[in-house]
Amino acid sequence: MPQITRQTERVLAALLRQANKRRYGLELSQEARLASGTLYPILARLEAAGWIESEWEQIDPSVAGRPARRYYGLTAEGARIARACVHETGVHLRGLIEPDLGKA
Amino acid sequence: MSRLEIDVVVAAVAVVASFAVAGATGWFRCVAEGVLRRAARLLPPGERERWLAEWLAEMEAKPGRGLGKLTFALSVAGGAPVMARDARARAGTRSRRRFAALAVGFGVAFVCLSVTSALGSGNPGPIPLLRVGLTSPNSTLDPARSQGVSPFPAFERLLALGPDGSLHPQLATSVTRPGPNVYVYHLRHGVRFWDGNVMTSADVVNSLNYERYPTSQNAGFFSSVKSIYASGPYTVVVALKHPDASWKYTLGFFGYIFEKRFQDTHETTMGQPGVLIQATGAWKIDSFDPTKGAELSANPHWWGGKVPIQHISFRFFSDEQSMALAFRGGDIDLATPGDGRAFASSSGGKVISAPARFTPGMVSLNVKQPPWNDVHVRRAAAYAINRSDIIAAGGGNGTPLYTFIPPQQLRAVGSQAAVNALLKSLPSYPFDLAKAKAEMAKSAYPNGFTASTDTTQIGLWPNITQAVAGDLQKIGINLKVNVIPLPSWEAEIFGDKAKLGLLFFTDGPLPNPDPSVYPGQLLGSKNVQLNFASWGPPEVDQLIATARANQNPAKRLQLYGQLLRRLALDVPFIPLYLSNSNLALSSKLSWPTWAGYEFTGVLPADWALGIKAR
Repeated sequence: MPQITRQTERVLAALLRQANKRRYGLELSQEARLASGTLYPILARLEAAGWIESEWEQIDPSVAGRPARRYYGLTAEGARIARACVHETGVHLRGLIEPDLGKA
Repeated sequence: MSRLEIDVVVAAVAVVASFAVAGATGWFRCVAEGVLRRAARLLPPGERERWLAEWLAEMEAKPGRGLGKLTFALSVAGGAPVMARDARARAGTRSRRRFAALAVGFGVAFVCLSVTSALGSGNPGPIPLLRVGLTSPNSTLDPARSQGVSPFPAFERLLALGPDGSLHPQLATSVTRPGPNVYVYHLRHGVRFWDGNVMTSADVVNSLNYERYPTSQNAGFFSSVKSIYASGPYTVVVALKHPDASWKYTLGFFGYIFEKRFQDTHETTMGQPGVLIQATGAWKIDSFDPTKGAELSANPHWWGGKVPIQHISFRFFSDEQSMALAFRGGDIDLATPGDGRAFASSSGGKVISAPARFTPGMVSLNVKQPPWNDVHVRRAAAYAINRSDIIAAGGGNGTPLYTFIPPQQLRAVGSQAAVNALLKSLPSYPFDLAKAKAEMAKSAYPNGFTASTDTTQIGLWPNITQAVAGDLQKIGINLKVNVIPLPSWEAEIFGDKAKLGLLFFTDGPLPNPDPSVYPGQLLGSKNVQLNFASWGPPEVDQLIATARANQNPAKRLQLYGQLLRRLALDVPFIPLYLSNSNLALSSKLSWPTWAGYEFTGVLPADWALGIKAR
């Protein structure tokens, strides 16, 4: 269950800007102003939660002269949640999650 | 000189040498790549390659000649332990000590120079084959028709329940609750069935609706549900008829998800040998024979990553004695016997026990079936049964139980003092032959009677049922015990309840802390599958519904007190004991996370992931 921290909100906000544009980690790191060590755990959690999805860049590394990157984008569900979190109502995502899930 | 000091010296020498050979830029890149590789090794095997490839590509995109790449790598390494912890939590395994050790950036910097042997992977080797013994075979893999599917680590649910009753994501990654009666389950993406087909909300809706149909043996757990529907390809909505305090736990122990397309193709035969089923768990079922066992193999599509045990072979035994012989002979690696003593004498394995959890052994008495429809007969039986005899017949591991709802579950809605006060106020039936005979004298059968009961080879049920019969004999009840095959027994208990009289059974070890579990499962006029006592007065139906819907713990405790009082007066069930759990495990294996409820119960779906090679 993703913990919706301020850093997570920044990642969601970054992804929500130009939501149809996919970004790789370094771009997201710069847009969200987060260190790589903070960003990747957040991406892993959001992807496991089904809020974002990722795919490998379709390039031939020998032609491009660099390895293929992994690009991220919001899922429909993630976009809905991100909008609710960041833009539309100002309600933070944590308010939508059943508060006692994960606790007896 | 300590191991660490040696490592540091070796590292320093290597640093100087490599710097001289590669130059500054090459050296930074080398170190950075080594750091990333070592950081990736923290992650579960199924995730390492993906993240390493991603990080290496990102590192290449990082501007700068070398130092920037190293800074990037060290930052990634700083976050890797968190990723590892999260990944293992998702997979249901515990993090390791080395995860914390590697969080120290100092150690990470030396990785690519091979000086971190002290931080070696520590990964236990893969287990090629795990052999498991069972004495409770099942006749079908259809989850709505047999609770015997639960030992197979093949069926997953939307949520998982931990040993402490905590909820964790499984096939759902989050739950939102837009209203008191509406739960929205957000499904995990990328989950595939064993045949490679993608799981979507259509599969989940079908599975949940299938399990809540009136003919499903688990229908009682879904009685609060108004409707289940998909609101998107990865979103499932459960609308309740009314608030239900226990609902949040339900999909942690029921609601096995299987492929709709497969069921559509095998509408009447799904779950049968030769047809099987398509689910999502870490192991797929390759073959199944109700008389012999089942063969499972690692699911290559499992969303949790690489599965550490390649094959699991389940072997069904007719009784615990023959299973103990197989364990002592090294023919099986794992069993969870009711009586661990016969297993303990093995030189190649050991037996450990865990305290009693919610695993009640009970007798049901059909209130609509003579002679058990006489309340004085039922009360006489309750006084006549000596719980010490019953626990001894069950292997000696257990705690006497006097209330239909175990006190541990009542604690979920009341303080220890409040629960104690409630229990003290309730009518009780401790062993008392004089009172038993007095009740028989008041009944329509003062001279006793002859009856029969059927049992089957699940654990030590025949022994325990014989012990019940032995105690009842002392008040003139001659109970004939028949041991019949499991399919016949299942057909009997799930069939026409009018044919049931006295029945001994143990319920599942559900770590659900809510007191509504057993009333919801076993009582009520609407519960046609598991109400073995046929007991469901209208006011009891009302009590069950009200207690479940109420959100106030103190009020709920009061309502469950009323229910227990009514149960104690009518005696449709005689609670006997809470059984301890035993684990017999080969000395070649360890199971550090075993908490006593796995495997024999309905949780968790991926229990075998906790088993390690020594």
